[in-house]
Amino acid sequence: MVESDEINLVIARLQVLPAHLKVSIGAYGAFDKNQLIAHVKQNDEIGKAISDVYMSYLRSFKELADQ
Amino acid sequence: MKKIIISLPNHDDTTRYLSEQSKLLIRKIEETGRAKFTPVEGDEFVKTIFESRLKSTNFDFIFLNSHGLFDSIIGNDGNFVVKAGQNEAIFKEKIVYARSCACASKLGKLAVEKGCTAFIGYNNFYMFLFDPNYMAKPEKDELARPFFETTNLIPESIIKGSSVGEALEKSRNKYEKEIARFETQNTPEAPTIVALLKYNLKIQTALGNTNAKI
Repeated sequence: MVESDEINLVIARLQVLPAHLKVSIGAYGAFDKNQLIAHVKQNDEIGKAISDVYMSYLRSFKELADQ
Repeated sequence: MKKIIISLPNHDDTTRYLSEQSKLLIRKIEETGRAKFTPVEGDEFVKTIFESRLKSTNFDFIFLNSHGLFDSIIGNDGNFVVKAGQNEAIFKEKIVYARSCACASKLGKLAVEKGCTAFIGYNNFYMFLFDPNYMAKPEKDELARPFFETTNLIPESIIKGSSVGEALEKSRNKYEKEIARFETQNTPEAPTIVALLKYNLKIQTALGNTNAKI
């Protein structure tokens, strides 16, 4: 899967999150979904951190399906 | 009665949540009479005060809430409290649980090499979902609850007599129950909670003697 597909998958996941909720990412701070989507699009450290979370989750489904 | 030192920083949303959730554990444990906590709270959680407090008593267990980096634990002033290559020896012959991002990978590893009995922590960013409407009462936040019940179980189990490895196993079992619970919930936040719990579980680790008890 190319990187842009992964970014789109992560953004699609984030978009369903209620707007008022926040994700704490350690010393980087706490971010709502719109801030996280912006970081994912920028592909910076925060964007990569949250992308890693969602992609690990999505890959776990694939691993289950492959078993 | 076991003697526990605990950090309770409060300089931002994340540390406030970590600390308020820890206070729930303190109340629960102290009611049983099993342990006495020495809190290092708010602006007290800086290197000099923490080191002084740690040296003042032969604590059985160190429970740290804070921000962390791969090589350090960060205090309420934004400076390091414990840093690899500087003062990791303060953990010598202690069992440590650091509910702090990333610091198991370098600081924890070096601390164990320098004589820390066991170091429980995280190899990357510890993350959680929360509802800012509960900022004044973080302990009432149902969305944040699974992230803290899974991790409060580590110090709680150790204080109640479990080994480091057994405490980690109990935490893992709790994670799996919470993951299963949220996997069946059809709410917009449930997939994010599951993804974050799975991630935190993956990066949770124990180094050193996992048979150690207090």
